[in-house]
Amino acid sequence: MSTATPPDARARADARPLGRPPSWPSAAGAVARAQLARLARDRTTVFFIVAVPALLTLLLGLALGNDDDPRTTLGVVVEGTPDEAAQRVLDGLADHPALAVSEVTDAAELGQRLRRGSLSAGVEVPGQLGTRLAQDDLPVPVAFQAGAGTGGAAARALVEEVLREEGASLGAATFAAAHTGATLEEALEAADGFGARPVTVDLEQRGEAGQLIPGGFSHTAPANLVLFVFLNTLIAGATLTEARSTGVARRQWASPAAPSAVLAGEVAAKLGVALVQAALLITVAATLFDVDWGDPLGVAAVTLLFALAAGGAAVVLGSLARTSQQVTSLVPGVGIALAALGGALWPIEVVPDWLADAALATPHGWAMRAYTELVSHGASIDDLGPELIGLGAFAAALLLAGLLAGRVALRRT
Amino acid sequence: MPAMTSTEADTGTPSAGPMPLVRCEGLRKAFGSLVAVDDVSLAIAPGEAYGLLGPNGAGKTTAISMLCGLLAPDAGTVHVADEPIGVGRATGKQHLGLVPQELALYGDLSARENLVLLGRLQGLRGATLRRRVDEVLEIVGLADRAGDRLETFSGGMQRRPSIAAGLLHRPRLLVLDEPTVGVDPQSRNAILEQVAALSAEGTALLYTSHYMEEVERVCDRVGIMDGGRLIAEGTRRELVTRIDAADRVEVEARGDLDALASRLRALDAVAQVDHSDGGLLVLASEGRAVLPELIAAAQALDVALSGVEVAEPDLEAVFLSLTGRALRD
Repeated sequence: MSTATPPDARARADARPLGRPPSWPSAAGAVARAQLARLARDRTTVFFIVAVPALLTLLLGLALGNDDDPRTTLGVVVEGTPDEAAQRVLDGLADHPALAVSEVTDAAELGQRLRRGSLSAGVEVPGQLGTRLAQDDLPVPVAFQAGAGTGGAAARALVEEVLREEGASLGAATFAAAHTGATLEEALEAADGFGARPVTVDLEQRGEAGQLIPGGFSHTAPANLVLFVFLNTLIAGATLTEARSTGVARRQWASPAAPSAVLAGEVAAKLGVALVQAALLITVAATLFDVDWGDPLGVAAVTLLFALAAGGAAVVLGSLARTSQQVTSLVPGVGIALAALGGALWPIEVVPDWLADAALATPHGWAMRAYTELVSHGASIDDLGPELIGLGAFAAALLLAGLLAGRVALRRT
Repeated sequence: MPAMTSTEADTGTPSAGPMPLVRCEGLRKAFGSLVAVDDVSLAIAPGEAYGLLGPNGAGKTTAISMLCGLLAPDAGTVHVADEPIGVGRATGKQHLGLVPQELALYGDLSARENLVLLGRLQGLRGATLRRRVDEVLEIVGLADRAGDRLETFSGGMQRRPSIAAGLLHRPRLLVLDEPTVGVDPQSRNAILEQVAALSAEGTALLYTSHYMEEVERVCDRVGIMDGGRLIAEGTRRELVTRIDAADRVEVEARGDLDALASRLRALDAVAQVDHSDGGLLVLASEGRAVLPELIAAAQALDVALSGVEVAEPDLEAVFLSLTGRALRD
């Protein structure tokens, strides 16, 4: 064994060390940079962050439909069996080049399809239109109902145009048939050649179909963003568990860097992952699937707050789990359950009210509500007060929980 | 190096000369009903290599965890360079460099990337950080593999960046927690050489191990832990002297062994002489000091010596004497 320290070595022994407590941002930045570099090198992570969400957005959007037909969609309900006059109106609507007409069974189905957004508007045509015209039971009401989207006004104008044209012929033909003994068909043939007085057909505006149920890419794009950003950020929380199991955390805690700075660096890395994925999905949906996300400020605010909530949740999970395997086994179940509850797997508009309220117990619910307002209802950031407050509360709570959980993990290191 | 005195651990009086670099006083830590560390006090002088020896479960890792501010003690204090060390406190930790038992580095990052990260956490920046990373990579012999990911390193080679990480900020005390566990003999020898070189350069060391020969090779002073307590402390010679064990001198010889044995028994340093297979077994307080007289007596008696081996009592014997158990399971 050595028993003496040379004088020059003793002088070196007394030399001041180079280390000192780093600044909080420097320490947090160092941890964040290292974690992001590691995540960027993991091909599996990159695949699940980039490729899978884009592919699912495409597949689900196509499955739920995103019609490229430029014509205005019109649903038609016929009350009873259509007589010749009613059929004439139906044929006129069907033949109009700007209308895509669908036969609808009844008013209830019409309302449902209007809420789902698969129809721009709907009309209910009396089946005994000819009889009412012959009886001079005027005006004959044709019920009109607009959908919540922007096609309702166009549909009304087109329906009025058809009814004006057909109404003129029907009026003359009805009169002629009543006074000449000709059939209505024979009289219509004659009337088509004359510009007779139009039958008065009034469009009665029924109430709005109610809130539009988002469909197509307008639903799947935000839904996939919410689902995958949260899932992949949660999985990134396994880096914390790994740091403890490999002993890296012991080195970090043994340094003069503040534990809160190290934790903040971990959160920042998770936030970076979340924001990169969100940006990718927003861009892909906008450029490839023509999704109009709406107010950019609103989208940015919602996305940032949701990403912060996801980052906080990742730190909580990574701090409390004992192994990386626990994290990877928990994340799919937790992530999908939260997404389903929050309205990311199916539109929240189709669930019972109590379930729709329960959605707000998740950050997903608030995020989906905000994205739906932006994408499907044209809201701006000014209209998103409740949603931003709800998301902000979740972000703050989860970040605080992450800090506390991280300190618990520190004591177990 | 200041003279060290053997210290009875149960007096609770650390002994390391004036102004110790490290002072641990009355450390205690219990996990439920298990007392992992029980009233441990020790001191380490600047530039001293202190070994903490004990079997698995003795409390060594718990003790150094408290010393490094990773674990809050239930009682007691830790000071390094007169600065208190505690969980969540930044002060004092710049004086410590930790080399944990595990690799404790990211395998998917390169040696340089790992060191840059840890250097930043030590407050190093810019040109100072870059220069220091290059220096420690040179010290541990990894300058040509700085850009390679650690997962491509062999097990023994992975220990090198681990040691480099502990040296980055030029700590005054390097804490090595069983650094050779799971390492092949060649790499183990390389690590020990590196550690000895650091000690020779003046870095204070706290080296924990359950391998006696490592501690004997590297350390100036040794503390022996068992059952959470520091049961003995001092230099190797002091500890061996405490248990009053004798050196064993094994003599292979042909001739009048009875006469030779009688001559040796007359020497003051010799406690006992027995016949062994093909020679004599001599127990002496100073085995090497007996050799000249042994050779002279053999020559005078015309006894042909074919081999002489002196085996000094080791720390294994000290541990066995103090606890009644072997150091290793």
